[in-house]
Amino acid sequence: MIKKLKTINNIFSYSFFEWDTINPVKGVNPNDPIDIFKKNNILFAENGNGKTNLINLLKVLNGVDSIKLEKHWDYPTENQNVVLELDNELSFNSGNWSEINGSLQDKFVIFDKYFTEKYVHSVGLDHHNTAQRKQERGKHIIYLGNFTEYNQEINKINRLKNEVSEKNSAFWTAEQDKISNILPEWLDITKIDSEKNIIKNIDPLSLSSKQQTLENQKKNLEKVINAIKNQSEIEKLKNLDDIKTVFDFKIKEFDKNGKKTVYQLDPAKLFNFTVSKGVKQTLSKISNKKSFIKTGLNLVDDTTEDCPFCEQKIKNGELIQIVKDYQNIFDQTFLDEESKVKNRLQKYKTVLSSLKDLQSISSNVTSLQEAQKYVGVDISIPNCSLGEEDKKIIELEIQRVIDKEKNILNPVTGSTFEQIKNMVDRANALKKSYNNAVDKINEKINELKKVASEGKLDERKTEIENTIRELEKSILYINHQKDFLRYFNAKNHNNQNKKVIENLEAIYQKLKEKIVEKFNKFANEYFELIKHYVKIISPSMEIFDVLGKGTYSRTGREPAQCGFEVQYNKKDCTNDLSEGERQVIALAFFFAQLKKEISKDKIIILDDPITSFDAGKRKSTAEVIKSETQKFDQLFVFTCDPLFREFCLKEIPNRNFYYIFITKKSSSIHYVPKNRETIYQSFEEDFKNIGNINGSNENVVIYGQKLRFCLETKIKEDYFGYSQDNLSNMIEQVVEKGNQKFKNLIDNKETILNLYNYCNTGGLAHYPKDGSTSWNELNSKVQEYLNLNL
Amino acid sequence: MNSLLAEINNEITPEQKKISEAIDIKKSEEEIISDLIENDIVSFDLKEKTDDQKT
Repeated sequence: MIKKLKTINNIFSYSFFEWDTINPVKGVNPNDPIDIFKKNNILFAENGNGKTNLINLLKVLNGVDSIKLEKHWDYPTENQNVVLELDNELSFNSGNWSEINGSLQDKFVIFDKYFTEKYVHSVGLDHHNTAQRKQERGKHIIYLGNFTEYNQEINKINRLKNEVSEKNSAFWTAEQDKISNILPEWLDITKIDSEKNIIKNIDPLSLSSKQQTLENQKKNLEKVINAIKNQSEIEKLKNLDDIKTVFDFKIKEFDKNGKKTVYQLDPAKLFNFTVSKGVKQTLSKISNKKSFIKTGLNLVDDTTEDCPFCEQKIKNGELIQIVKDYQNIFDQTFLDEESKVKNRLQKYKTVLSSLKDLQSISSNVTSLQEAQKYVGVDISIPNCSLGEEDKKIIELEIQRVIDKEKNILNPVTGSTFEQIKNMVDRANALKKSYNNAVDKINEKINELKKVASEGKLDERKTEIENTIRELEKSILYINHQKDFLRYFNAKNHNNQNKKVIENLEAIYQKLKEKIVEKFNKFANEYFELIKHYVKIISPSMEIFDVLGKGTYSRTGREPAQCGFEVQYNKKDCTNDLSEGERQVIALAFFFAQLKKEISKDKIIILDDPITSFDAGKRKSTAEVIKSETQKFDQLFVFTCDPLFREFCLKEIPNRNFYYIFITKKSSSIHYVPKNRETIYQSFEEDFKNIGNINGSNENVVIYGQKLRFCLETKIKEDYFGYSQDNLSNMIEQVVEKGNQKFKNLIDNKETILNLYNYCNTGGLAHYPKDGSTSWNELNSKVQEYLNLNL
Repeated sequence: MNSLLAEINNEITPEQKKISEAIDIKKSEEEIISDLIENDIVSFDLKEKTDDQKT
């Protein structure tokens, strides 16, 4: 509680106010501290005496930083000073406003035109429901509904989401950077994801083969590039020749009739061909035709007397002739056989010679070298010559054949046919391998020619480049498999974190919905209260509906907004309300706030809440002030309205009454004792004791103003009932005054007006500028007033 | 005043619930993040636990 505004120096119109100088009066009961503010206080002031200045001072103490405490116009260089006496016996000297602010900040709840302007509607022309007012109402609801904790909670979730997001972003960026440092320019990080399984399953052992293939492909690429440059050369490329020699011991033979037979060379038999064997062989041949001749001839020798064929005595060569005939046949057959042997030996020699001469085709080397300029050949042409040892063996065998040919009937021994057969097998294998290589090389050459002739060399180049790229990727994956697996792992974490961020956002949105729901519920209750107070203050007001719709957003500067609409027959009529109606609604808004105010240790200040009110509303306002402020620490009602003042004095218990007016160029707060609460009565008491008062310059001004106040206010209120709440009471007041008093008033009209003019224009208003007013002169005017006996 | 998070507990998905239950709203953001890490809800460091270790 504020006990005293002990000193106010050089703050607006308070040029030098000392509470103890102005209010030295003690009550009848020494325990009744009438010289300090009570729980409830009514302060009356006419316009221009310092009421608003005092409220501004309190606002500054409350923490309103938009108000500047100006110095008195006449003391621009003097220091400012404020001393407050609070119930906790702390006092504050100004000069350090923040110290005072800190003590009383947010201690006051103030109703004035700024409150109305801020939360309800403009007191001027702009009645619109501006965004700023929506925000202020939003803040207001948040404060009253104690939404701060909810806000803190939802803000924490929001910050948490942002922090998780930032941390994840930093984490993921770092991991991406790591992998990006590994990636070559041609490999985009976004392509990596689809390769996850390839990388995971890639065989590290395949590295060297891939590297080798890569090298080969690079060479191939060079060759294709070369081929593109020299396309005309491609057509000229020759195919490699294969080995056509047949290494075989089977020979084809034809008889006299042209019948073909296949004979398997048997060198052993050829080398063993002799006469006896020749004969046997010859006989064997002819026995097939004349079997009996064979038998017969076997029986013929030098001693044979009987012909084995006809069993007659051999005479005169009869038999011989027959034998001779057969002998001729025999000789021819023998010759044929010998010739066949020679022929076969010749064939055998040919096979042996070709075997010995077996070797790679020399022209193929040149063709291959030429082709290799343009086509990648990873096949080597095998050497197909037999070894020197083998060749010696073959030469010896050839020599045997030659020897046999020379002496066909002499047997030849030492044939190495079995070894030769093995050599033939090997030679065939070598030939096969050689020819396969040649075929493959030719295939490549032909393919290149075909590609070149179809104009597809560029396509081929691209294919090879792609292959190289794939190989390079594979090698990269193998070399950095761990790094890539780490990257995929990090990506999983990133995805998981992102999901958490999304869920935090969803939680945030759900919390927001919840807050809006609560916010709207609270706002609805709050606006129901406003309606309730509207009814109390102005029962006749046909209201209407007062609505507020809340929104909650994190994008705006303020988290919440609250609309405000006054409806009549469900139509917005905010802009059509009269001044008085708007005042009622503003006041109802304020009382609803007091009802919802959680902290009751506040000081309530009302600055003329009844502007534009009729008497009935003034009275009901005083009643509501009484009922709705009792739970708070302290109440200050400021007014310049005599009627409202009277209502407050009657309605509000446990209160002191003060009036504020300017004395000696300084606004002052004067305590008014209860028995002189009609201010003019209080002043008249002072007038009666004027003889005991020091005639200082200051008192000249004070008593001059008191005299003017008495004349005006006493006549207005006491005679004409200005402070009454309705016409009936006013008439009652007039009647109560009686004819005699009014006659006195009328009879002294001139004197009264002269005195009033004296107070306003006769020098007092300008004192002490012209020095024409003196204490004695004022004394006589005061006496004149008292003599009027109004 | 009850925590708003507790109030919405029945209105969110199981996944969100898991996150919500790991949040002690009275703690600072940093502490909450530590709790989220502790509960394997978020992770910013591969060294702590790898996927292989998790499985």
